[in-house]
Amino acid sequence: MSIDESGGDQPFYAPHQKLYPREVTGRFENLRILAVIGLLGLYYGFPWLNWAGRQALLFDLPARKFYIFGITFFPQDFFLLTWLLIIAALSLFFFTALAGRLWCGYACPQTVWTEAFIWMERLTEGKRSQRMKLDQAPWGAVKIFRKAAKQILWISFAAFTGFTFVGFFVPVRQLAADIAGGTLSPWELFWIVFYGFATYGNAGFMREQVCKYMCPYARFQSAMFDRNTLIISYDSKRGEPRGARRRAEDYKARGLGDCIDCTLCVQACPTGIDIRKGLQYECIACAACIDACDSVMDKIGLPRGLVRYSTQAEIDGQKTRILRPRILLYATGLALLAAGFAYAVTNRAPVNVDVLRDRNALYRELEDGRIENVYSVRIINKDQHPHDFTISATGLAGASVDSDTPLQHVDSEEVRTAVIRVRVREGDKHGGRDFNIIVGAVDHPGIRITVSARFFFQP
Amino acid sequence: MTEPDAHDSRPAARNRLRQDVGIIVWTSFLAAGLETMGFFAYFDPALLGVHSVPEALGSNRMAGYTAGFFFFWVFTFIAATLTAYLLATGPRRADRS
Repeated sequence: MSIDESGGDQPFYAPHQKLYPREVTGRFENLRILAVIGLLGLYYGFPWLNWAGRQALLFDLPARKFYIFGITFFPQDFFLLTWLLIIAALSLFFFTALAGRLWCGYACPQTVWTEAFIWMERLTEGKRSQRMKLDQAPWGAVKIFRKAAKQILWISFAAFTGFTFVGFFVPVRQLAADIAGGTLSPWELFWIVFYGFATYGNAGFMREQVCKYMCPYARFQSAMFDRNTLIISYDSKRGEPRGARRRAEDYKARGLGDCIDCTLCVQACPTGIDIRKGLQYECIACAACIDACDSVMDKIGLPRGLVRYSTQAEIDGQKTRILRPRILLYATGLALLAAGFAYAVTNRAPVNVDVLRDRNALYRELEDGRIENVYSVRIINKDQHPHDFTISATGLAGASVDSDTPLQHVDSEEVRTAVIRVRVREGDKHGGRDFNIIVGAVDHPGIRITVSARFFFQP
Repeated sequence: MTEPDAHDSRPAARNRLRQDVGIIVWTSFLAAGLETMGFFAYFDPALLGVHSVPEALGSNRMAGYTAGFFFFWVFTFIAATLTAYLLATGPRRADRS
């Protein structure tokens, strides 16, 4: 090995070795299978779920409307999405401080889809040892058949994943009909292929490399860790010194610990680390090593938990504290943000108004000496009912508002742009004046929106 | 099995390059996704198309979103590539030597 001149990050130079994670069974594997089925079920099922006659979850990009269980959001509600992302980030901090990388091991899409892809790999290529043998074997009928079967499964699953993804943004039933009828728009086709390809690459080939080299969370999660965070650890006091031994042999007399050095925990690891070396940033806390070790401990008649969920405090023989300032801080912040979000969603203004000045002329002098400014008033009716609106102006002495129709009818969930001409008699004034444009619903006195605008006289 | 040639660092360097490109593609993808969301929350591609964008992109919102996304991706990719290049080739910093 040549001397690494880059300063300490030697693993970057190690050539990538393909991993063959060993299949395990046990409590935590069952939990993960449950999580995988549940999460994939949500993902693939949601687009098909209808709510009040419409797709329950539809981010209708072509129409610029977002339907979430009967509530319609518009691009103007973008700050709510930002808010939601902040809540999501803080929840991640909270759960990381409390329970470590629970997210990585059970809920991260990378883990969930990798798990599904590995399942298909096992179905076609067999167990770990069979897969290793198959990869080393020369190409023959069996190898071609098995590899082809795997690729067919993978590609169809990835394509369906891409289709479902686009189904969150374009009505999924229409999308399915378009595919069946061959009338798919090239853009939709492009995104299906793009997302399908990303799934195929990430879950089929990149796998643990995504976690090791590409995931920012894997790098900064340690900042949320403390001595009371749930981690997976090997009980070295109990296990060391490790070593092989014969059944029925008094290994304690030979000075050996409980670890028989079967390396099943290493073989099971999807990121290829040895948990017995201590906590490493590659560890995604999937608990496969716990399941592997527990099954061995059962077999040799020793108590489970040589590798187990634990905390640094517990390993050091202290008591684990769950309620600590960090946790309380995150929890309080999370509760406040969530309450604010709920309030903002339920008290959302039913109507939004944007006012734009006419770009062509700053002002116009009419024949009768009045000064006219033209504005576009965009009314976004987010309400479930249609409304008729009047547009008036205040704060500008002697102003009158003229538009093509006295009432602006805007259907439910529709947007209408009305052009208004504001006219002021005092034509001798100079400069600009701020005033208010008021949009009020005729049928609903509670809906009355005031937007400030600027009126220009001659300079 | 033959031992890999200890002095041949080419496969390792190629591997390193592949990982670097992977990271750059990925981080710029993330940033481009956020930029696309933020940008199109305020600008409707159909309205942009009226004056400033070729008609083919403006008339179809999906086309507009797609073009916008790749536009952002290209430039965040350039920024990330330059950042990675400058960080990797610059003088060694005290805390990393």
